[in-house]
Amino acid sequence: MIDTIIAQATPSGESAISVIRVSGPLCHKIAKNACNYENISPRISKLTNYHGIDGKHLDQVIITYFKKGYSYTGQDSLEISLHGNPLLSELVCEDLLKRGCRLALPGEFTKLAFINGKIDLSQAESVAQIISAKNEISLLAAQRNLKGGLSKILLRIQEQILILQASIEAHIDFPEDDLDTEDKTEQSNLTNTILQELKDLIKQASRTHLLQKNIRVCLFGLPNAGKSSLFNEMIGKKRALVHEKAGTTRDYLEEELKIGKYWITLIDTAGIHNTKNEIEMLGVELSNQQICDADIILWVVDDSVPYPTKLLHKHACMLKDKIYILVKNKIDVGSSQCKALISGASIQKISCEKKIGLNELEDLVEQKISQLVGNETDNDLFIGKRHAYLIKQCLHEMNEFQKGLKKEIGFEMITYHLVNARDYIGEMIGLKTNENMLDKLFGQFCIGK
Amino acid sequence: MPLKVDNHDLPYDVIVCGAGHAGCEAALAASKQDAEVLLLTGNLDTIAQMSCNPAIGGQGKGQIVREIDALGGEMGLNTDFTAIQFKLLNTSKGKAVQAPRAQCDKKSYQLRMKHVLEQQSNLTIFQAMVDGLIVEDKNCKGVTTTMGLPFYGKSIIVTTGTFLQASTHIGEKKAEGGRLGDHVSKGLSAHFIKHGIELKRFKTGTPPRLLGRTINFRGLETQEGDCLPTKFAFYDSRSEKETFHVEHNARWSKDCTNILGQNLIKCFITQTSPKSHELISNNLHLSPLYKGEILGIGPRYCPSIEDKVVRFCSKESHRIHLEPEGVNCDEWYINGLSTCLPFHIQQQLVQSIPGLEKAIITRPAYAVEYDYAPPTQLTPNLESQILSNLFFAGQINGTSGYEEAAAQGLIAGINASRKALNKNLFSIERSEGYIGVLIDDLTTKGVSEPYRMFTSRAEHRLLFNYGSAEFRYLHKSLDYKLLSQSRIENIRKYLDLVVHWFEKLSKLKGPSGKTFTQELKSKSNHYETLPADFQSLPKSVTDEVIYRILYDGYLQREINSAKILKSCNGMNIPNDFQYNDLPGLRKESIEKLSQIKPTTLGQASRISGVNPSDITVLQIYINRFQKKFK
Repeated sequence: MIDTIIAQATPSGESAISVIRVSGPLCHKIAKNACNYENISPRISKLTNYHGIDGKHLDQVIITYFKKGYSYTGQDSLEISLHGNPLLSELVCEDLLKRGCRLALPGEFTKLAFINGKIDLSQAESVAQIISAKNEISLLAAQRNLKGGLSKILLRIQEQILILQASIEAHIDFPEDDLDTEDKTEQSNLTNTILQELKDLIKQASRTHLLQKNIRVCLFGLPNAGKSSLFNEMIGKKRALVHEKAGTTRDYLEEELKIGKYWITLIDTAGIHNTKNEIEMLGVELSNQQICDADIILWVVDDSVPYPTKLLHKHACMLKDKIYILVKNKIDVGSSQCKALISGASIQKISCEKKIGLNELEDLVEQKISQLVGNETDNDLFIGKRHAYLIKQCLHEMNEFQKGLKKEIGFEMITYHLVNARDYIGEMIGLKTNENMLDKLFGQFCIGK
Repeated sequence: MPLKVDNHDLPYDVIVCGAGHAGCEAALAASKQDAEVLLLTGNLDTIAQMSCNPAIGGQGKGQIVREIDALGGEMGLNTDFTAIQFKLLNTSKGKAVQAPRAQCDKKSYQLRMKHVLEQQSNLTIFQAMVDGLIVEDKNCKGVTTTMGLPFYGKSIIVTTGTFLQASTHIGEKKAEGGRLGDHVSKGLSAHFIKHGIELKRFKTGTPPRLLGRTINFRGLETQEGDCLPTKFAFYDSRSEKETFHVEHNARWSKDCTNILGQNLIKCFITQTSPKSHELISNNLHLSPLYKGEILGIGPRYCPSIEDKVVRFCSKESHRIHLEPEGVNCDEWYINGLSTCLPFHIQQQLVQSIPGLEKAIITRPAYAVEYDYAPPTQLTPNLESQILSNLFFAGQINGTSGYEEAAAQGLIAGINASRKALNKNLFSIERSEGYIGVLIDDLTTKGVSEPYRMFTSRAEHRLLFNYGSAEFRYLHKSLDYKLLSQSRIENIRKYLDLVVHWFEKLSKLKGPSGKTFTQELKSKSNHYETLPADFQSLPKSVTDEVIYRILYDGYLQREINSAKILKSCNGMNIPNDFQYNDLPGLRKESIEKLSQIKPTTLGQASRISGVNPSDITVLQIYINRFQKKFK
């Protein structure tokens, strides 16, 4: 019954490679099932592909196996080197959790190393200090994250779970007391409320989870404004077809690249215009969708020709609630035809042809991202990896509880789901015990036959 | 053996101080382990007295009595033989949370238990009040008594209940005594403190008793017992000799085989009226609870009527149960009317309740305040960590309830005798039964109010159904010789049958063409269609087989999680482990750990205020410590 634990061994964020460490009995299974690497031999690095549990290809990886007794922790261990993209590490970590691993606690690898005799005894003290320090730091970090909205919501959920449990336990433990008759609808309503709160949290978590996914930067503009040229310039290779004929880009293209310290997904879209061509119309529709989902818009205009007045207003309206940069392209050809386009907008003049203003544009994009990310960190509902994991586990337990409730299985059979759910929330904001449940019980019900 | 007074050669293996529910089990368990035992009590006429309600069992408690019986204790048999009404609780719910309860004839209960003690070999009972400890080098070697006679023994068990520095309260009237009309134990408290044992104060209360002929039962709701009683002791595994062990041996050799299964009485239910609530509200200032005269903490699950009225003011009335105290008397216990209001208010209060308008109070309600010794000062074997050879059991450990007390008495009795006889000590884990949960809660978490068992305290209550106690404890009763050889063999035989039939029913096809297991699970099977050779098995076997089939998946999950709990317990913490100045441990944890001295890492992790990172750090140091001394 030993857990298999995982953690990213390299600092999160961008880097050439990132390494995920796995320690525990599941290593062989993971090597075989995820990396198609059977009969793994120790200490030999192998280039292979990592496939998710759903069979989807995630990344090309280098995997190294360390045999029990000969690894850092002393257990069977794997080191999986991925391309250094935070999104990828995130996906692989999530996949490993689905395969039955759990996230390591602060200092847990080092602890195992000690317990399995891989670290000198004289190091024990420093290990202990590291663990308690790391724990303090992560606790502080958690508390910082939890200040405000999120902790309030979690406390409320925890409270509701306790009340729900108390109402069930009261009827189990005090069958002869003068309690109101057991009201299953009330318990089922309370369950629904808790489930809804958890689902909302998860929804918000993924929406505001900017640091853990790439920022989506989307090119937008009229046909032939030079969006694809700019796209190619930014990713540094000819990926998109470029042609002077308008409407060349019909599908949208995505590439990942780094701007300053951020990873972004840059999206090239079909030009927005009224068209009767069916394929082009589909392209326009896709563009609209991409713009909706984007975090930052680069509004590319051909500065050598005037912007059609009718469309100008319409497009400005479309971007009303978006963060965007007005990119005036082709300044080598014409001069400021769209001078007074939108007042107050961030503007960058460039020429893809003559490579003017491109670095400045990148700087401006970086600046916009840091504003965006900064704002999001201040947001109450920033939810870290571990928290998101715990909230999902809690949701799972509550779902199981509800299933039991619907099947009218005796309460005594399913209360353990509530205890588990309570403990998952407790790991974020402080554990509650049976004693806390009893406090609720005696507060809520008049016990004392 | 004649009474050995003032003999410094430690003539007794075990001396038990107090003959309540804990003391009786302790003395019996110790003498059954072949120890020479002396039981001292202040009053031989109040042995095993039910100071509060005249009932044994109930939720959580009924299961404990079954466990006591499975470990060779007497409480189950004593209840069965003196019960006047049996009732299985929670029958509307699953078997896992059903529990037996019985109203008992209070006097018969005492008399039979006294006779059991009288008949027990290796056991001497003697009436004397213990007033001090004899201690040498942190070793407890004996006790002194108010008669001036000292007694010496290898192990001492203190089961003094609520008698330490006890005072009773009725309104403003305060008197000394651990029970109304009873004595108080004064000297012991001072001795405990002198030797470094901490004491704190709790409070509890009991309702008035009424004269039955003055109660108007007409129109009151009745509560009858079950026609088929659910007993507390296991009989399938016992021979008749073991079943009627005291009855057969009694001098008058009475034929008591037909006493079992009596359903002699009815209980009644009434409720408080608006007038009662008005009366209480108007006179709250007279209750010592509200005047701040009682400082001890009382149990929340057993509040006084004034507490109920104040805290749940929206409730228009509170239910009152009327329970007879026996068949040879006409005193009635008024369950739900515990109070410490002055007597004249009590009288008006009683008379404000339907059916009790003309009732006469025979004994007033009162509160009692007493010293208890916080049980975190004990090891899981219930031995003091401060003075060796000194054991504590029962209400002195901050518990409440006859069943909780008896369970502790049993464990303390087994261990005190084993220690005296130089045998390995006995303990029960949380994952094994309610008694394990009880003792771990007490010694690890301590108490903040008089402790009572709730099934929610057990992580694996589905495994702790009342029917399985004998099977669960089989390996313990075998290893520690707690039961007779023949009973152990029977239990083992039955357990094999349980396993065998559990398998067999999953393969045999029933009338519908599905297996019996499938039929049972889908509730389409009524037991009478089960194979005849199955039905002819002892009830303890068939019940357990059906239980295991019905809850199969859930039980498997509980067994797995119990295993995890057990493996977490795994690492033992050395006795002499020092927590002071360990880098990485928080100060709060160091204090708690040094005080409670957990014996395993699992126990350490359950101490409140000790967090998971402390456990990790601790694990590292224990490893280092052990490697150093290997």
